[in-house]
Amino acid sequence: MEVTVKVKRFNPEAENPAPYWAEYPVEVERFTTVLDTLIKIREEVDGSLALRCSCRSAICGSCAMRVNGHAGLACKMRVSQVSPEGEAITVEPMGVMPVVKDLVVDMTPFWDKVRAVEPWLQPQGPEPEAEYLAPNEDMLHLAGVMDCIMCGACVSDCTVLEVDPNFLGPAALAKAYRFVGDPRDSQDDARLQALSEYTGIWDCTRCYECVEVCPKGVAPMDRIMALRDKAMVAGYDKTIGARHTDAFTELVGHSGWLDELRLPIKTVGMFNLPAMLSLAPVGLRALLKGKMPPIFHKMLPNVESVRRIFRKLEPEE
Amino acid sequence: MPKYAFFPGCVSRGGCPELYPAAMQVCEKLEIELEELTGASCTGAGVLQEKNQLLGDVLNARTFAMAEVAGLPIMTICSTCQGVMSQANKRLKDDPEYLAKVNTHLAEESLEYNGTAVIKHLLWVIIEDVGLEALRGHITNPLTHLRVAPFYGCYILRPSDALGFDENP
Repeated sequence: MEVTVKVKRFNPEAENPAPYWAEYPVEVERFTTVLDTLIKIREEVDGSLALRCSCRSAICGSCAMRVNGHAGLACKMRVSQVSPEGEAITVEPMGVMPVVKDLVVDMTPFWDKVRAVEPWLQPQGPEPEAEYLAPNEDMLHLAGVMDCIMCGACVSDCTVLEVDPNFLGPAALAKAYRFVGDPRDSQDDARLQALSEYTGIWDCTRCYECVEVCPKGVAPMDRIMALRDKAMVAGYDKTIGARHTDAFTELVGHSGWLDELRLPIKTVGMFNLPAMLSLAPVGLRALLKGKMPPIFHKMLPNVESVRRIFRKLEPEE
Repeated sequence: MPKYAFFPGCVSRGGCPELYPAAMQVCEKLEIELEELTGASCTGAGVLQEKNQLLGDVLNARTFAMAEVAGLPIMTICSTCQGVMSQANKRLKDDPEYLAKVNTHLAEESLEYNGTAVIKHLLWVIIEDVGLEALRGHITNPLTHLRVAPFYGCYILRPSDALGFDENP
């Protein structure tokens, strides 16, 4: 079949370096991968096309790039999947990280963030004579997260990193979970405290894009949610994120549905004057645009049923 | 005439009050019949689930059981509710033991969830039940002069394995 591949190219050594789109019509088989298609273009059409690849088997994580708008491993995507009706395929370098040339990005920000979470085991006490022993069931839930091949796809498409480069991001936070969840590690408390700070677990907007694009099923966002739970259980529940979760749960447990007016007030604290004042302009704008939630929040018709469930399952609320 | 158990969500009755009447008028015009689940609780929006996933799943199973009693698929106009309900439904359908555990908490409410709930967003309903071509025939005021940057919400398409709906531009 013939397919057109639109590649977003960039040559830093050009006279006026600027990204541009180049179109390559190529003849491929339906089962050809996107990576093999790009290699074919490089070998037969334009030898100056720059891309990274190594294993071609979705193991090394080198060939992550954006195909049809979402990041993934080019070696894991077949032309028949990304162009079922023979549509043109768009290929771009990963997002968030600076482009070196064409499809090659500088992954320094990625590695800096992974390094920041101290991704190594920090056990305590005397070294055992043989290996550290850990119960099987305590390690099984880490198997998925250990599958991470550091390809950068989740970081590329993270909707928070797109606007806030300080966020630790999905790959580093999934890696942090891998050590917080490890029964042999002794630094859970310090790790959870650090992760609760600005740039950490509470900065994720839960958009699910990292789960969607991860080629190895690591599900970074689910790990971040698990870290939030662990952080709150460990007592790091005074952050704005943790307070938001607590306030949300309490309000739903009271009336059966969310009281949007009281959620921000309860989250920042009624007597937190500076925060309350900072909410005022938002409230005023909402009022003027007719978007102020009702002041008198009605109870759900059968609220007792919801409250009974809460009393059983969230007794402290 | 398609009929749905309508789950409006908290936002369409709170900070986005325009959504509720707009959805009602659209459904009336497209002959989509709605029966509101007035007793359904908040889905937890993924926020409550950060703290207590079982609680979230029991609350959503309660809603699903109500829709089963009505014998109707669920339709919502909130992207977050649709995503969160779909994820809860997947966990419950994939694991009969877990579903049984959740049902023990519903027994006191005289409800039981049998794992048959279908959850759709209004936009899916428009695409699947009405069709974009048929929708064209209902347009009275074409907005071709507007440049629109729509935000349908993150969960309208994600996570795709829980939704069973393909991206449709």
